[in-house]
Amino acid sequence: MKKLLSVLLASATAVTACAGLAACDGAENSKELVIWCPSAAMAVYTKLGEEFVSTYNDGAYKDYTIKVIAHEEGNAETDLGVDLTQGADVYFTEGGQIERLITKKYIQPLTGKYAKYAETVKSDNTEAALPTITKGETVYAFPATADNTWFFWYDNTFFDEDDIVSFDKVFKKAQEANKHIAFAYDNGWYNTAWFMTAGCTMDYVVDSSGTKKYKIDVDSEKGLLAAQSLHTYVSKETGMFANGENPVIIGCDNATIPNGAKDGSVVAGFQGSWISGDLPAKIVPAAKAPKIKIGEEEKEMVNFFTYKYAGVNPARKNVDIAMELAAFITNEAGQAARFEATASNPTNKKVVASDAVKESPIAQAIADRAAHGYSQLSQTADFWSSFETFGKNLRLETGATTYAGLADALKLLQVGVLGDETPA
Amino acid sequence: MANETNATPTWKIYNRPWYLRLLFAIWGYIKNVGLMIWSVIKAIPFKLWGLIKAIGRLFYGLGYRFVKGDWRTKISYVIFGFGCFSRSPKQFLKGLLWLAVEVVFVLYMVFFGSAYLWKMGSLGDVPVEYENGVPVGDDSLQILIYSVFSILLIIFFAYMYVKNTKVAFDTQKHVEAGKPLSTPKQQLNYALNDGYHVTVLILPILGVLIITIMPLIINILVAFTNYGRVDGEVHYAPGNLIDWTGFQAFEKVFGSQYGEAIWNVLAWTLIWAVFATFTNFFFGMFLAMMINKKSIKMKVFWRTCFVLVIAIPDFVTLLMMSKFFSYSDNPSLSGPFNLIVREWFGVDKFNHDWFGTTVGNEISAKIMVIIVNLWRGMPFTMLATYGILMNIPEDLYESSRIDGAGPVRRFVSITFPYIMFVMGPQLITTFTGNINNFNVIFFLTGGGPNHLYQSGKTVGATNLLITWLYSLTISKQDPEYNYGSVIGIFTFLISAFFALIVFNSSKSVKQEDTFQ
Repeated sequence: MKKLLSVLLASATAVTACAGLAACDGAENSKELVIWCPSAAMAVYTKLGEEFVSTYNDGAYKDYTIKVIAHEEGNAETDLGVDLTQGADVYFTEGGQIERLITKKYIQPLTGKYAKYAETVKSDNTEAALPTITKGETVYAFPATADNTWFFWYDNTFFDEDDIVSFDKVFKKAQEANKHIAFAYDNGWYNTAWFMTAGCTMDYVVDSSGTKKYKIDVDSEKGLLAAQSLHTYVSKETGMFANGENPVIIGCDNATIPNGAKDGSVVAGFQGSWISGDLPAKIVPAAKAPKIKIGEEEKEMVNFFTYKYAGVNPARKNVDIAMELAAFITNEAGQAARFEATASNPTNKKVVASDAVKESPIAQAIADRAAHGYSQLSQTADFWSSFETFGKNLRLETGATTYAGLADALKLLQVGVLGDETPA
Repeated sequence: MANETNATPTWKIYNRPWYLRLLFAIWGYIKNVGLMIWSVIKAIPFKLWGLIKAIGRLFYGLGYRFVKGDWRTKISYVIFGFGCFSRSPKQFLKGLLWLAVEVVFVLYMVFFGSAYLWKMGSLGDVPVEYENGVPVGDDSLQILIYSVFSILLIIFFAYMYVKNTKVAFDTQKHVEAGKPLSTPKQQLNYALNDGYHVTVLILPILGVLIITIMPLIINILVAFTNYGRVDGEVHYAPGNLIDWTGFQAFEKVFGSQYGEAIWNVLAWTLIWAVFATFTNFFFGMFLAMMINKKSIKMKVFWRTCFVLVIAIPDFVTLLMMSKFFSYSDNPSLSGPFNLIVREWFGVDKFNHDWFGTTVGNEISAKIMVIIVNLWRGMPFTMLATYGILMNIPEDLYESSRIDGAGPVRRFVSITFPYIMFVMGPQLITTFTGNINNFNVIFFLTGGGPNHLYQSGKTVGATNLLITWLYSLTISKQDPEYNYGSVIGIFTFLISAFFALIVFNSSKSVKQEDTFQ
């Protein structure tokens, strides 16, 4: 009897293990929709979600609940890759990821019965936001914000209008006064600005036979001038304070400018609009970015500029309703609410034309960048890590990245970025 | 004459100085390892021949039972259990169970398994498209998983087939010999007593097979596919198809893409394992010896201080350490250690990048990682050697003092051999464990300062094989599962090699029947 019981017990435990695995999947509430949005915007979308279920379409979706979870846009692809069926129904993502999301089928195209949404997207939003999400005739996502860029913030008690015309002037003034400038020299999203300003290309091109190739020309005359200019500012050889103690340019994360500005050690920086919440009043965005000195010329700064989109997950149960939700939170009212809460520039034509947007200094800075932006279509797999290593090397000048060895460093950078892609 | 026959030959090893004796010991060890590997290689043809003979016996047995069996046995080759339940109602339950096995297997293969097995060669032709949240098409990963599962079931079924023929034949022989057949009650009794080990182990073995062995086989098979990003193309199930690529992934990891990186990572892994193991061992031993000295008061207090480090979980202490030594170009934002040296000890402008968060400080990062691991691991060895030290008889030391031995000589000849005799095998086990010591590296440096290789690939400088595998496959936009699998297989081979050396050394230790 005891032996029989022990056999039954063993089999029961085995069965419960399997049941546990099944419960993970089945317990998912099929009347719940999940939104992944950046943490700064959680409040806005929670409110919009409540509005969606209560009043939208005469309460047609009363039975549903909307759950908003914080996921930064840059992590969308990685997080969806973990398990597509457990990902969000609607998620926010960056323009640079759209290409890969389409290839991996993590995003639902607006075709067939969803073609009506494509029409609305095309008519309501600024034209420049559309090429990234359009392949052939198909549209793949809903434009949400036009703030995926960075610009120049400065302390208006330290600098005046003439100083911020040129970055060289800004740097020299900070250097003499022993103050820091925050710039993420080791982040490919920021340090590539020098190369883009010099006129380098780093993008996929489709050649005549239709194959996709990657074109990059940092290993060239203009690339060398750009690298030399960046080296002058960033390296510990020439970029230190007048008293030689610390480097002028320090790395920049979300806390550097707010915290540094409070004690006055940081007087300028390059960042996006997402830090606007914590800043002291003296830190303002520059309506026009300072010019960068490449070689002997002062050139208009060109940096990455792209949009952020809302995409719909094709592998979840309620794709129809998720489409409605995505269209709702990115329509005119949704974008206006988002702008009010997080100062994120909208893409909806009507909101862009509104006074609130036109008069905001951040919106002006972003509009300046839009005029000189490098639209970030997707990059190669090793793009970011290669530029990161290049930037860090510039600081400490090991081996190839002494001033004399910059040409070698650029060769290595180009090989690294190309990776296993076919060069154009 | 006495000189010629009784004189001690001068080439004997115990006459030589200590360094030659050490070299001789190491040479003997390497010879042992080589001999062991050679004996394994020599045995392979014999084992193969044994396997062939066993398979021959199997088919011979099958044929023999068919020929010698009566019509009932012959039918049970097609219908399982026929030989049992057709002979007498007493065997009905047993026969029915056998029949159930066959029916379940056939139903599984017809409705489920064969569809996947059929596609195993191509791993699917039509990539998945989603219609209303329902995937339609071939999910390559699912095909791989269920194919492997089906193959395992086929092997299990083949085993049951042979068993079934044996049962039918034995039942026939039983009846012919005139012995009574077992009743259901006797069969149940057998299942619960003599055959209890079978009854109770069925489910755990099935569990191990499905939860451990099957994923292992599948992960090894992934190394032979292009599941990841290859030549600029992405292959991620279910949205994309995966294909078999043979040894291409191996060629890429050891050749074109990561060829330079993998040998550097392996070199650092081995150097790290050696330093981590032996610094912990020696410093722990010296610490134990220090605390054990008669003149030290409050022994319990000192031991407790060091043991506290072990009490706090790994990742709390390691994360704390990485923040403690953190570095920022803006000195006021640097971590506490830099701050303390600057403010309390008055060293001006002290702002060192300990863990190499800026490139160029790879050496600093590597040394710091070993030192922090020493701080964390020393208490373990201290406790182990403390117990051994307390057990060394005092009279050994007294007699050595009388003989005029100094402290170093006492250590080398008494203390150290004693400790090595007990801790020797454990030391090599720790070495093998340190090869895969993920926690320390990951929480302190995350793989370390990035090193750009000439092939253009960036790999962290303090990466072990295992942390590099992690960085290639987790939290990456385009995870490279196939390359990760190749690295996993490589790590297994390295660890297995060292584990075999443990096996060999423990045998040789056992062969010293007395110590001293």
